[in-house]
Amino acid sequence: MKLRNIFAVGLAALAGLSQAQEPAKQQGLVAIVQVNEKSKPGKLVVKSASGKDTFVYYDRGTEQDVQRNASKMKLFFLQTPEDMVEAEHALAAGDLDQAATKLAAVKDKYKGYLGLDRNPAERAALLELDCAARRKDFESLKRLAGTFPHTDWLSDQDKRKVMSARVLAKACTGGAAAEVETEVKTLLEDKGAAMINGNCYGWLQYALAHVTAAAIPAEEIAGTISEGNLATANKAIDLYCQAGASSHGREMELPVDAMTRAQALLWAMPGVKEYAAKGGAMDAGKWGAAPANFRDAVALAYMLKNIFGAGNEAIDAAAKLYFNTQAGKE
Amino acid sequence: MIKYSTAAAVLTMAALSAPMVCQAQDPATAAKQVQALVSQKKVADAIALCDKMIKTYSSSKSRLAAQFAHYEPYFHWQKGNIYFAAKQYEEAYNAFNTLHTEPRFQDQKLRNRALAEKNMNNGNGFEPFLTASKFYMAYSRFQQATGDTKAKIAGDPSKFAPAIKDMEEYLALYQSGKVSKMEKSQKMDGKLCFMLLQAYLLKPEPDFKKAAEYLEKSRTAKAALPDDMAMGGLATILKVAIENPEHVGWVYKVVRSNPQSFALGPVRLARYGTQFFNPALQSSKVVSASLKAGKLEQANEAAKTTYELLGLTPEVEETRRELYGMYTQLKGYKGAVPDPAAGASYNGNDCAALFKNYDKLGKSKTQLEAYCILTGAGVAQQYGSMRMAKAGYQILLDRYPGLNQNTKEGPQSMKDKNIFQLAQLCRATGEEERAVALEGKVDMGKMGEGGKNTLIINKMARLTKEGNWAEAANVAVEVVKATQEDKTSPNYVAGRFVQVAAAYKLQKWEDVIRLGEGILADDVFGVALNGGKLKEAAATTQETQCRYFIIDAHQRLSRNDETHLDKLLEGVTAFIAKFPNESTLQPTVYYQGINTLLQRQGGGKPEAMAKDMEQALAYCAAFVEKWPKHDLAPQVIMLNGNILINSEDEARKPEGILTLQNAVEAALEQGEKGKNVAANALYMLSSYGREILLEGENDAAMDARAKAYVDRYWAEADFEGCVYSLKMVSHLLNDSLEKDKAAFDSAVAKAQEVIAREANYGLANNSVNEDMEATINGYATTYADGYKQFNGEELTLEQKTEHFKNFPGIAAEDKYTRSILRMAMLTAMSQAQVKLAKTDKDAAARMQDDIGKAFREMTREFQPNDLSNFICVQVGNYEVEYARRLNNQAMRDEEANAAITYFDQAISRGGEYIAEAKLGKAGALGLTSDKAKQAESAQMFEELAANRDPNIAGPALMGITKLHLATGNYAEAAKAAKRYEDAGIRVGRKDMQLLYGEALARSGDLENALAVYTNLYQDMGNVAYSAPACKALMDLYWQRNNPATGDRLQGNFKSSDRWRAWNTGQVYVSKIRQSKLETKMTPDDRDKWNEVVTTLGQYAADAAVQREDKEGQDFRKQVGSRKKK
Repeated sequence: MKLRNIFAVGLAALAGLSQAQEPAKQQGLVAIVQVNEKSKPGKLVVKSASGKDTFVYYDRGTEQDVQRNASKMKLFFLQTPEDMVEAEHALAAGDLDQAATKLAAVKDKYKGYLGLDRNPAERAALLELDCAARRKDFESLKRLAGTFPHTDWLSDQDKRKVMSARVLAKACTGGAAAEVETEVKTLLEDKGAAMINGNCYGWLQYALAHVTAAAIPAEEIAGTISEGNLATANKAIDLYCQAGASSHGREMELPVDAMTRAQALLWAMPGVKEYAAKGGAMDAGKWGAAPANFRDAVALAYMLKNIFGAGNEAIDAAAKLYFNTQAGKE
Repeated sequence: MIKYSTAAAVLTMAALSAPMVCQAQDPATAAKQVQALVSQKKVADAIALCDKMIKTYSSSKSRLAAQFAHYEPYFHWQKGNIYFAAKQYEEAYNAFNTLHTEPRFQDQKLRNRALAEKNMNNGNGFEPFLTASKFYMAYSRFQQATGDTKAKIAGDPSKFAPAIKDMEEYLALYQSGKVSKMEKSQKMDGKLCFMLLQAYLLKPEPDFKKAAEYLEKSRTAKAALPDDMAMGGLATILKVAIENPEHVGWVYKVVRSNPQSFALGPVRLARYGTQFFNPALQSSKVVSASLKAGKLEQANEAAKTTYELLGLTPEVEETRRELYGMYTQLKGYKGAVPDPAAGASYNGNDCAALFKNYDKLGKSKTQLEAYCILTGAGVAQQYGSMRMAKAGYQILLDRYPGLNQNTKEGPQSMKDKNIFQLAQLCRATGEEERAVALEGKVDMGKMGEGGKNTLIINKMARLTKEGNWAEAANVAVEVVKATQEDKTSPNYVAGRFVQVAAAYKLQKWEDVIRLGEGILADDVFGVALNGGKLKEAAATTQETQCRYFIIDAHQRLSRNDETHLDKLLEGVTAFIAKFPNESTLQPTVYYQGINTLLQRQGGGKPEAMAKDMEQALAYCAAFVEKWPKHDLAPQVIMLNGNILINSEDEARKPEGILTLQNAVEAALEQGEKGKNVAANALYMLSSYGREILLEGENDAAMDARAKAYVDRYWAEADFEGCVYSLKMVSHLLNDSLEKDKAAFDSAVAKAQEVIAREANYGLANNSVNEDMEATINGYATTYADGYKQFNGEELTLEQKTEHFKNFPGIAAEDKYTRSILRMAMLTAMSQAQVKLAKTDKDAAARMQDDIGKAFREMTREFQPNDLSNFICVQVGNYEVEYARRLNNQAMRDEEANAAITYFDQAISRGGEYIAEAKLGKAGALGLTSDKAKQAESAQMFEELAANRDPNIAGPALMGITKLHLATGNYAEAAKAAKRYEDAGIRVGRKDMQLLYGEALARSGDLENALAVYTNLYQDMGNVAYSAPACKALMDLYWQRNNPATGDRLQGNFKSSDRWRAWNTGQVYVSKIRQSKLETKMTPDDRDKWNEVVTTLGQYAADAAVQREDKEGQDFRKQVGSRKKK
């Protein structure tokens, strides 16, 4: 009977809010707590953590601080504080500068809660990695990943995220290619490779692509890739594209950057600029006769400009040469 | 129907009305009872109680009503809420509407009284929420409009209009601040805008402009949309987007406009995320359809929506782990856990259920994110970004090798399909080798028919690209077999076409014609075009190529069978008729037609030849008009000139010269690539130009013009490897003879340079210049003539042999050229021998020995494959003649077999002098004692005798005659000689008549034998033949030995054969002596002459002959004296 449910949930929601309002007046984080099977669930304000799994709260009955182990409770669930909510909303809205500031503040404010499951400081620290990667602020990423607090308290999944961030930062701040390649290989060969999510996998591909492309002189990328660097360029293009495809639409800042770099390399492949310079309106014949790299460079440029909202002068120019080969097909 | 559970709005409003404190039958008690009845799911009782209270407070006669009238609106409000929650929206609407239609409820005094009871209703008093009821009126209509799938309530889209009207009225109230504090606290404006956005999109005629307006307004609202509203709204947009693809972009716009609402936390992600994949997939289909419809903007919008939705789809393992953590923390906790970041709440049971779902997804290897990557790859591929598509499939292979898809038969592995797709994308991005390797890993059994066919088709395409035509031909047969059920399929056409192309590449000309004509007979291209699957451009490309292959196959076969020329020209005519505007192969076909007409020349029949030439000229004119700048244009102009200068009509020849001059200019305009045609045209001009006067030109001017062509050749057209340079050497040398010694010496030096250059070019390129032989031979002659002309004396044999032995610039390993030079030396020796034979038989014999030694030295120094066909034939012929002179049969066999190796070399190599080589071989076989070889010889001669060329047919028939004579088969020998006679062959005619006479005589046909010999005998000046004929006549008469008959006096006297034998000889000897030919005889002639003289002496000594001759003389004397008397 929906009628009852609607009213019931509505009442519960209000009740939850009214109960939470009182503890929130105290300094700390609200947690839903149930001590054991016999006791009823309730809420309390956690003042701090004290190492892994241990928390301290103020007991109003005894008017003293009490220390407990979260894992020994029947239920211990920290609720998300409002400032963390704001930081997450800023991140979701793509306001990365604001998100970085807020996340740093949350991480600092709640650092005393590290060690407790779902503590906001740890979550903020993890999201800071995402934020820095999305901003392509690799120096910050290097610092954040390098100073990540209490990594030994992290879940396996989150540990791999921090490791992936370190590899990405290393690759993009002048790290040695061989080291990057070895570290990526280790992460992906490890049995826990499945715990690396799509974004982190994209970071690793980006890292590999970056160190691979670094072997190609900048003037060749601006001009034409030499015969000797063709294999390297092809490898870098494919890796950048994998970095672009890994996240399947999520948090697209770094993937779009990867695709932009792949496009630039494709544009520098032999014969591509020359074909583009031939001029005239593109048609099926010209498109079909074009080098494969030209077609790929133009199609990617078109997608970057018109789907992913990326753009620079080169991409805009290449995108203009796009020809829709699907038109008229059944 | 779409579920619109805008729960948050309902909750907010309902919550406000819920807690009431009152006494039994008083308003507070009644309100409490209503709540209790609702809790007990007694909706009808609750409504009845509300109605009772309303009746009580609304009675105008009741004192109670007057006292408690301010409570009545509250019960209307409650009634509406109860109906709304029970999904009785019409009743709910009416209940809420009453608050607006009854004027008394607008009385502010009444409202103030209701609000004054602060201790009631959770501090809100009996607030009737007049403005909120307006919202609920709108919302009731909205719910009626959308319906409810779960409650099985059908939607009535006509209710959207009243819903919008009420909602906009409420929004105006809200934005003007004329609503209660409670309503203001709910920050409703963004939500209201979002609902209006949906209503405008969902109404029967969507109003996208208004929807866009409310989208923008909802975006500017700070508060996140309530969870269900955000998700339900998105579902609405998705539905509309799919039904109206031109507005597919609404989806991503809504998501991006409300980022906080769609930033899904782990639980919400798990709860809703899976719902986005199917719409994403549908949106990707909109991308595809839009691209195919040529609607790029629409495709782009759909692509943005696709990626946006894919981005909302959770990753299974990541979510599963997150849920597991929450599940273990909240296990058993049934209370609501608010998620303020997401605007939702959940409990332990929610987390447990979701965790189980995701655990199941992970274990069944149906990871949603993998499908997302797959879908993204598909979109990229549709746009033509093969690299991005390849990246997607690479990730699938690396990260999700065990990915399954759910089918009716249960989970099915996608591995083979994904590897297959990755292979195709590798191929498209230039990784052919990897593509092949990946295709090798695909389990064909796990591919559908389509996939299998694609693999075969790809294999065929790959093999053709690699040029592995033998294998491609086999695979093409498989492709045809796999696709033959649908003859409109481009793959079927491709299979048929590749069969022809492969046969062409493999030079299986008969197969090309059979398969190609099969395609045309089946109208393969027409059927496929009519089926609509094959593009016209592809059909044209394949059909023109197919027709060209057939034409060219006929061209190749015409070398041995001229009947193909007719078929070739039929093909050319059909091609031009079918593709009048084709510009890729048509020029080549025209060119082929011109060449073939020149080759056919009407089969030698004058009228037909003239017709062919006119057709060729017409093709030339059409070509030059259509493609004046085509690469083949200079060539065609040159052929045009060639036809004209060879025309029967003298008046057209000067035009031919001018046309050839145009060809030179056109060719040189093309730069380096035109040089060959320019060289050819200049060669023709320098050859024909000496015979054709242009208008107003005298001989001297013509001569100067011709020489200028030669000079221009060396200045502008000559290049290393040019096939005309050796030919031009003869012009160079001949022209120099008309100049001075310096010019001659210069020409000789240039000739030597060109000969050496071309010899070295041939050596370096492992090729043979067919003109080398003729050029060196011509050089030898001209060099000798020029030497004599400018030095006043002839070259000695020693000088000649020295010259050819030390010819400058010829590499030691260039046995081909060196053998030609050696042959030139032998030719010089032969010429000297011939001269000697006229004067000094012994010296000639010694020279002959030297020539023999030189030949035998050649056979030791050069292997047959070092020698040109011409030299092979020369050496072979020498061996045959040598063998013929041997009496020892074993030695003769040995020499004849040695000769055969040279002839076989030429025959197996092909090219020029093949017929001559066969003639030589047939002769050599006939010399052996091996009966089988003799039979082979006869068969070869017979085949050669059918050759149109009398230079081949004549010697062949002669060979047959000799063979039969040698084997005693005289009647057959006579028949062969008769065939020769009947064919009117002139080559070696007198030699053949001698053989014919012998064959007739030996076969017993004495009369005809005598007639044949008599013919030869009568040409007495030609001693080489008249002497043997004379001798044969003498012998035949002598052997027949018919006695004299008749009487001289009676006038019927007929001399005896023996006297005639003697007389034939004595007349012959007498006449030759009188003519003084005896002194001019060659030693061979003299030998034959001497035989006649000797025989004459023998017959003269015969007594009977002497007596008959005496009688004759006496009789003539008597007759003479009578006449005098």
